[in-house]
Amino acid sequence: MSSRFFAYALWCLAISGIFVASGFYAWSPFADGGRVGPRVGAYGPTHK
Amino acid sequence: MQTFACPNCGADVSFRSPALPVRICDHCRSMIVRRGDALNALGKAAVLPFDVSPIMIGTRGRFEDRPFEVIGRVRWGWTDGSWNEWLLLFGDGSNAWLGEAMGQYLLLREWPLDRVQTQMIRRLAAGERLPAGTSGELDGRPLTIVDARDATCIAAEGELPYTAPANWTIYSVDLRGTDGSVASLQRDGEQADLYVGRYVSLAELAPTGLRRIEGWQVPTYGQ
Amino acid sequence: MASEAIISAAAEVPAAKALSCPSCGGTLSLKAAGYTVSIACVYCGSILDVANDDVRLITEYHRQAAELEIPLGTRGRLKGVEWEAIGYVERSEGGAYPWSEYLLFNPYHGYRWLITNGRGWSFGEMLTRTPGAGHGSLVLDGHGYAPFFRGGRAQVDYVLGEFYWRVRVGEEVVTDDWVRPGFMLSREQNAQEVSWTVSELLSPREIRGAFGVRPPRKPWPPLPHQPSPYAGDMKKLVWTGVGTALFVFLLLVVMGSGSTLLRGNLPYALDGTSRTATLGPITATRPYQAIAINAHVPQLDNAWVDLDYALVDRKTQASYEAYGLAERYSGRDSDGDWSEGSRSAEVKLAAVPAGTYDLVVDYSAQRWNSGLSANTGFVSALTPDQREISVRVSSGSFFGSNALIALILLFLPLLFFLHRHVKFEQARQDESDVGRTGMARLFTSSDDD
Repeated sequence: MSSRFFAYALWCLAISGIFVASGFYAWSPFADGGRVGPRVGAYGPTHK
Repeated sequence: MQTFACPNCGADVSFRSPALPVRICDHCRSMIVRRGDALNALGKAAVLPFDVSPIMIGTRGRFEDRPFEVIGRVRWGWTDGSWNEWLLLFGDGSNAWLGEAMGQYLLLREWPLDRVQTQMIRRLAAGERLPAGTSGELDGRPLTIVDARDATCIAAEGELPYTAPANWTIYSVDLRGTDGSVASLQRDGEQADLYVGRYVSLAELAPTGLRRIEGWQVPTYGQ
Repeated sequence: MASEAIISAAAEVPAAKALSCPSCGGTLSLKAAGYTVSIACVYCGSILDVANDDVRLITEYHRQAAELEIPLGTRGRLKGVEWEAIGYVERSEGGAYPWSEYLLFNPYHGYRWLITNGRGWSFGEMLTRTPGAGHGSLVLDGHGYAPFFRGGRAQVDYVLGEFYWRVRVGEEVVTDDWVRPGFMLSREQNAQEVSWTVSELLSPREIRGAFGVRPPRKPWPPLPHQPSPYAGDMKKLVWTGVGTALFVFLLLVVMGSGSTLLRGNLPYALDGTSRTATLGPITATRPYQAIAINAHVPQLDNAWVDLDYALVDRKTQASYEAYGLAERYSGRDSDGDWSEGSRSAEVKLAAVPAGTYDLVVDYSAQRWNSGLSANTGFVSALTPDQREISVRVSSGSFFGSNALIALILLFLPLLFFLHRHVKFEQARQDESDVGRTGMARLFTSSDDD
């Protein structure tokens, strides 16, 4: 087993671990929750 | 195996092959020719120069599942080197040559020249000298001349199918195929003989009774 | 069996034969007696002919023999067999690109070559057969070899030790080479014959273990037949990445969306007035969950609905807020019918702790009044009280965005390795006479050709 493979397997383990943890706390950096600023811009279609 | 007394020195000489007519006395190096039960000494064979060949008289092995024993050798020389041809006796009484040159081995059997149609080989047999690079075909296999030169017998030992006096010079042609197949044509005056075979490795012959060379480990081939 | 055979079988024969150099008088030890044809004296460099019984002087030199990285007579074990270095040849292409070849010998295994250009070592064996032709490549024992060097002219610059042919300084052969990772196939041709050699690249550890020499660990540019360090375990790496990605994806599918906690309907009118409604109770049971709020406005057309959500914990009054917008427009122009937007709006709140909540929705709906689309504004066919926004509140744990980030992070190192692999292959193939092929060519941009 090469050290590169070992490092990458560790990396995959860490990423999937963080993903599992994010599921446990139901957390996401892109959640819609929290305070949302006022909507900027006009309503209406952008279709030309 | 038949044993006789050497007509020159009286030492025991044995013929392992009933078919081969020539035997070089291990003791006095006389070349003994037998006709029926009559033995004649035909001069002396030269002393073999020292070499580190791992093969010797008595080495046994198998080729394509058929066991053989090494019973004779001729050493040939030419301007740029020398090589060994070891005579192998198979269980069925047939024989073959194990050529040894440049650390590589060739196993060759005599091939009936009178049935060969190949132009190149017929011309060689008829007395022509062809340059290296000339190509032809034998039995459906392409063959190219890699070497064509005069070779001189340096020395011989054991049993032989012919007398091999020192300084006997023949015209020797080596041919190679693309798949490891080889052929050799040896011509002495009017007489030409063709041998056909292929490269072999020592490991594939699984030899036992190899010569022991100081400081080197003799390989064992699974026996 | 004859008794002499038994005696000679038991006896060992010496491995070397001593002879003296006719030029300098030095004692030479002939290691491959019977095979060796010429010797370059290790003391004075003179070239001697030992093809026949006598020793003949071919070329006389009086020079100090070169100090070799592997002194002749050194033994080393390679691929399970012990070899002795008995000959040394320095070669070059008309003086350029010099390299060295050591002739190795073992009486039971014949000859091999040890080849180095200073950047790596290869173990070569002469072939007794000719490689077959493949698709623009050569095939030997089922392996394809790609062309690398074409029509080189290799000359002999210096020799030392013993050889099984007549060596001559200045002798020239035409060389061609083919490669596959870890192996090189070489063809050498002179006026008389063609010979083929296959050589295997030795790892620095193998050559150090055998003959004590230390090649550079990472030669650059790479050797022609050096395998890319990224190619070897690339398959394993990709499978590890794909496996982990599947695991992440599976979790997302299985646990991404949970049970519906509440359904409710909010009446609206397209008049722009703000309305407020409270839906509840919503019971969140897991320690933490994501709460998804999906608003669907079935008849929405050329109008929008603003939705301000506040999920308020009944006990602590803690509030989780989010903003949703459903808008949908359609019309007809010279290209035909068009529509954009969506009648649904989903927002997802993160990390909502267990508890009982009310969902307070501040919302308003408004028609988009553009002259262009006035003809399609006949949502008004329905009476205002029939219009309702249906709201569904559900729980979950995984966010698709998280999975996406995870996937990107998982494959980022693979992209990096791929990039390094391509750089390696490009540097390796740029040394060749053939140029880049395969991936190295695929990733070659036109400006660095």
